[in-house]
Amino acid sequence: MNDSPRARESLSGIRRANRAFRMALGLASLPMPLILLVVVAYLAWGSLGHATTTISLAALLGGTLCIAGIAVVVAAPLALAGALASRDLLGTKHRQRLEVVLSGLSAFPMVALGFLFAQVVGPWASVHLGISGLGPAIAAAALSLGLLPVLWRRFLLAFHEVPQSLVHGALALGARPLRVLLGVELGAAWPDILRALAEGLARAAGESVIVLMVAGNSATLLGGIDGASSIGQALLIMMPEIQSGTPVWIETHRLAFVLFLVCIGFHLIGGIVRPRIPR
Amino acid sequence: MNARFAARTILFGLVTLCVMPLILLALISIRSANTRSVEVCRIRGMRPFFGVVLERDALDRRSGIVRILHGDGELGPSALAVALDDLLDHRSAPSAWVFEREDGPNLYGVPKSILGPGFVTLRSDSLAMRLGSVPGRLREDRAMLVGEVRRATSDPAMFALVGEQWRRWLARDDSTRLVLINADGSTTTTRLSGILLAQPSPSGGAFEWISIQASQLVRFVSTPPGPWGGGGALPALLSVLELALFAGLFASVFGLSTAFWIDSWGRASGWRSGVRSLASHLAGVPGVVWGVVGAGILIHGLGTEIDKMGFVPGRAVSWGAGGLLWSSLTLGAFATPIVLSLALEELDRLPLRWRDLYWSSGATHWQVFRRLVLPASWRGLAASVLSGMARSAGETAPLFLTGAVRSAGGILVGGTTRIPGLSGGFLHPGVLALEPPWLGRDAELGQPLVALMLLCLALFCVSLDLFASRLRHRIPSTEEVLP
Repeated sequence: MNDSPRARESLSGIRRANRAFRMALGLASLPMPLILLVVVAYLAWGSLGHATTTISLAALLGGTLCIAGIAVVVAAPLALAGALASRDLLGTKHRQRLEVVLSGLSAFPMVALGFLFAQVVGPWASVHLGISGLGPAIAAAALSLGLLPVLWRRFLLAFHEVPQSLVHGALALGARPLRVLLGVELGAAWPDILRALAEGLARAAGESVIVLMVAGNSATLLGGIDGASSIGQALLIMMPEIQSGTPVWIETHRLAFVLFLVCIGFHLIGGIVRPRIPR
Repeated sequence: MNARFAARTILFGLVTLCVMPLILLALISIRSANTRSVEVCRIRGMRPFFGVVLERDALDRRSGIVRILHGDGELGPSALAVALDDLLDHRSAPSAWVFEREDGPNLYGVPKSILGPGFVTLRSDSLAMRLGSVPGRLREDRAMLVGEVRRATSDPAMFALVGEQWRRWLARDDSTRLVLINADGSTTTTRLSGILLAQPSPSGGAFEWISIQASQLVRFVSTPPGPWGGGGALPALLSVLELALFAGLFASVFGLSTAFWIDSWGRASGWRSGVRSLASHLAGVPGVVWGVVGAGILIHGLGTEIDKMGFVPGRAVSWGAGGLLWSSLTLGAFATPIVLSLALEELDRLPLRWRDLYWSSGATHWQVFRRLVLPASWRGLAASVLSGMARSAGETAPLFLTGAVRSAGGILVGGTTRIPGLSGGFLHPGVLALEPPWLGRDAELGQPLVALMLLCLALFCVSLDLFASRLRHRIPSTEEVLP
């Protein structure tokens, strides 16, 4: 080790820089856990108090889960078919390109989808398919189109992570392609698929603008259940009009807290399932 | 072979389905030029008039109604709803022009002459030239005079002098008018300085169609919305850019710092997996919940308190009514967990043996960060920030709750142009699209314009994410990173 004064000075400079770096990063990292604490504390605090209940939380939660559920049920098989087709047909380079395109399309604003479904698809469906042009069915269709690239990409990545040695081994032992797909590939990829579905449900449950634009304020679920509005839609309608501290304020914060818990819950389910299943 | 064909069909169909929203938005946007083909309409019991027969939507076709934009300049419903049987005739009027005005709805007619001091123009080619330049010059003069009047308020003598000039200008402006011939041969006049756009009715050629589309696109992205449904969407598009930049800045400071801290000091402990899972869960919190939290804490809490303290006396700045700053902070908080989880993934891609090489030679955390982590993964980290920006730029729900408005807001620049300010309402394409009527009173003209705005927003978000993916997929080689 060089012990000259210049080297010692340089070393102390490096140590000072390191200390400053650590302190700056430590300070800038604090807001991240704080954000969660603030969100939870604020929503919990805002929900406290007595509110004259005019809104049925069960109906709103039911509507939210129904619309999100239908969207995922429609989008998931399509995404699975897309992932399987692209896995079979595309080489590594094209598959990577498709992943990039799907990632880009995942950022497509939901408000643009809502506009298209409210202005073009809804009126077309009411004339040609004979269903209500504005309602939860169309909202769920719009949501499922929004979810399609998200789920497709996740499924594609899930299949990509399945070790090819397993597939080749099964084929070498004489298993038919369908059996390899169902028994080996889906068997190995389903934790990731399940996680993607749970996160897709969370995303669909939180989408409010589409439901507001397409299902409107008097939504019915496929003509069967009346008043199936979603929590997000109710928040968008109520929040801009209210005064802080009023009973409606408390109700609004309760709804937001419930939606927060629902979405975090779906993510937790997705996170818990995956590590518990051995590869 | 059959299975392969089926797989190809499925793949093609699904890719088309995913891209279809972009195509549909583009198709609706193109209709904004089509609505400007003026026709002479004859309706039972009415005099012939210039109008634009609107493309009937599915519901109207079923009920036998046709809607016509009535370009006679009178106030009232812009689109006449007429029974299909009562529409006797409608044929193209190639000599008619469309005039967008600042003080009334669109006007259709054949320009005849300009009346007023200094104007005797009868030849149509010179009239067309003057219609392209004179109204803009007159508005510039007006803006200059208004500025002089404002500056002279403290000096009574100067105020009287400038006031006299202003009155003379108003009298001259009121008498400088464009004369138009209507479809029934009668004439009508309109104030020349109030004409925002004078455009001949397209005759249908492909070159003309392309040039109209191009000029409308340029006008759309470079001018503010007009008060009567015309104009562009400059303030709304600027808001999107400002929001994405501020949110990206917020998310990059806090998201990337946390990622670096965990990468440098949190590797051995349970911090890493804990914060990763926390970020992943927070990334799933919907925008509307962030909007409620942002509106509650920033607008009803912090903003109201700032207003009570009166930091900016004498100025109409209200932080308690929302604005771009609060919206960007809310979007920044929304984007931070996304940036953090993507940045952690990027930092994980650096091979551990590279770090071990530096540690074994006695390097400090700062040196490892400066010499290895930053040069090797800056592209991926930039991609993480861009992805966060793309996700947050497409969110509308938080903006709806934290300050975005449907009518013109922002700071007035140059007399007519508004740019989004940090406080007060601001325009945003998503909020404008939420419900008709769009951009003034002409819903029929507004729909393609909103589609064009949403197309711009969608292209911005998608291309930001595509660019991020392009950055992310380049992994540096060992020779590039290690000394």
